[in-house]
Amino acid sequence: MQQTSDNFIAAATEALHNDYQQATRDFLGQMAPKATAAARANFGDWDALRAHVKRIREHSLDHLAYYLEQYEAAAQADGVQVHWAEDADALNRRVLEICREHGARRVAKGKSMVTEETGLTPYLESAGLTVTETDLGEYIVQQAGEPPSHIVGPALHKSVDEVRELFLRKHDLGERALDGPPELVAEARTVLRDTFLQADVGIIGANALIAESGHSMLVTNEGNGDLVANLPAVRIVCTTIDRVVPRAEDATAMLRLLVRSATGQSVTAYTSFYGGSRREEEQDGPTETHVILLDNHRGEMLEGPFRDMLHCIRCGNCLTHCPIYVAAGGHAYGWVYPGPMGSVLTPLLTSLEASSALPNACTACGRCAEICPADIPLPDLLRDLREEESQQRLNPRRWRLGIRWHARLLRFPRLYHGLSRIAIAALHRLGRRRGAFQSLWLAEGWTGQRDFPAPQSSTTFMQEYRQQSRQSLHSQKAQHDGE
Amino acid sequence: MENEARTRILARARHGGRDHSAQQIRQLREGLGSAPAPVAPSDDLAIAFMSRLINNGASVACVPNRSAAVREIADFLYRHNYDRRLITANDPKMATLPWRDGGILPRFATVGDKDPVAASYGHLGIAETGSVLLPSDRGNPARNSFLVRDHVVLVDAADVVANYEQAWARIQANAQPRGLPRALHFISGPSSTADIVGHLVQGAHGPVTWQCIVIGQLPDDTLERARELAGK
Ligand code: SF4
Repeated sequence: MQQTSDNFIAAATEALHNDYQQATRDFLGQMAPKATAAARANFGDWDALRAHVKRIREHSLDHLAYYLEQYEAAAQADGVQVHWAEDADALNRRVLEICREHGARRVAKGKSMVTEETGLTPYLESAGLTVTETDLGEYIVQQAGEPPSHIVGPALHKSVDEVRELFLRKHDLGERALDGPPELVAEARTVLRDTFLQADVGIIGANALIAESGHSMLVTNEGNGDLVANLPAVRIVCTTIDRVVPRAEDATAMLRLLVRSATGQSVTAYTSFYGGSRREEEQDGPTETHVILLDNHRGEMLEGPFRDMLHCIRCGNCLTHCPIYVAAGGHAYGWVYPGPMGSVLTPLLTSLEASSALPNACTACGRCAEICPADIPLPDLLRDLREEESQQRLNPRRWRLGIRWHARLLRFPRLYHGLSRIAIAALHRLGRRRGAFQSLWLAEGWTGQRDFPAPQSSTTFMQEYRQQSRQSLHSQKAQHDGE
Repeated sequence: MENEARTRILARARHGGRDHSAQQIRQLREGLGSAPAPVAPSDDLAIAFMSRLINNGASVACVPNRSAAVREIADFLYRHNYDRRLITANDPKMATLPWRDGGILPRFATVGDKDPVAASYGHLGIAETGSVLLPSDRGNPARNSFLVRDHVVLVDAADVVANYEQAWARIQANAQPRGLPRALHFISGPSSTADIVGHLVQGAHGPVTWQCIVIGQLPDDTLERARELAGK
């Protein structure tokens, strides 16, 4: 996928002018947090679950090599062919090779963020294969030629009318009403049936890998993932090295966090664990199974300050809790992962240079860190990325100059407080009558969008604080003397 | 090439991790214990299980024995305008059901591309989530669970366990010498999607209707109490 993250401000501005999509996102930003909060509340001791899974993930990452080797051995013992890919290109090439070995022409895909990350679909298409996304949201955006706007609901930005027009244009089925979501879903079901039945290769993702048994966990509601995993003769699981956990019960502990945080459900319709190929006595299932383990910078993340990001379970909860995501929409982020998790992951998986706007797409409100089921300190990671940006001189020169001058000033507290007193007194005097400024020198970025409130008194916070401290000391002393 | 990639990936993983022996790693994992499970809606496993199923959008029936289960399947086929022919997989539990009690003509096979309905026998139920386990084996072709429009699943009340931890313990205890089944499907209801404007639609790519028949000598009001708990 062509990355356009450096165009964030312009794309966000454009998104803000699309009234329908803005209203949809506002609705999502209100409803999704309510649904996930209710699911968390109904669970019981959510914090204990979150802490337990965090310990398991930390333990898994601490012993990643051990568990990857254990997973590999168990999967191979069950007949799975395990492959290792260092980067996106290696994964794409391996998938194409497998397809070619089988003379495959048609590929059915389940939902997989990893293959979005590697750009697998366009890669296979450019090699002449027909690739069909079968998750309904992914299918819609594929047909529309758009990238996903949300990691769990890829087509949530599209209206019913837009999907109807798209289906009327793409499906040659004659006159029909297609009045609402149930009719549109039914049509997609009918159209995609042949895709499942005729595909030569099925590609799915994995929510977790289980080291002790060699299984991969797949969590879905639509059933498309399981059809893709079972019907074609060849199954390829594309996943990343950080997904491995020691035991099956660790995967289901993570599952408890995932479903509640992703959709507010207590369970999805399907949770499947996939190992090897069809056994002799069985009547269906693939005859060949592959798992591709992708690194793509995860190994580097493991050693550095962004290791916590490897705990992400891709629930999408931080997206709908983020005021920036709700305002700007997923497409503005210009790559596969949007929202707070995307603002951290995109610079790490691509480059900070190509996505330097993203770490700044944060109001530091802290909601994402509060609700993240993986307990990832997203605002701290974003701040660290901003610091790196500054060190690499990727942010605008005037920002850097401003920060540098501010830092210098802070080294002289008396001077800093003196200048603050002068500034506050002046702003109070100038803005006293109106109570706010409609424009202000050096703060046009602020006043361009909203008024800047004038200070309500001519003293600074520190002055007031000192004065109140003195007064309270005084009254304590008087009380003491009186006794 | 790929071997070199493997070596480099594992080297990075080792470098970013801790140096412990296999035994130490096992002990460390052991020390982390088990995850907390969700609060159960009822202490009665069958009620909790069925209430979750209802919440998941499944239709649920509760019958005292295998003969009643067959009659319930017949009733399901009648309600959904099917004739008395039914595909069920080659499962020993299915093969020995008293099919004549419901006038059903079973065919022990895998569904074809156009077959609309099938029945399966679940190996266990999980009360925590209202899920039924259908592992891959001769008795459970995946097509029968995912390709049909309507899916009927039987499960013995005695096979319902409280949570995932108990389910895994049971699965591991029943494992064959060659290990776990190659696929384990936990199915909790009909397929669904909310991908178009967040509107929940039941019946996406998997079954549209998913009926679970729980077999066991349970108090008469079990299903009613499950419905009350589920608020339906
Ligand atoms: S960062 Fe946290 S909230 Fe966001 S997708 Fe990942 S796990 Fe979910």
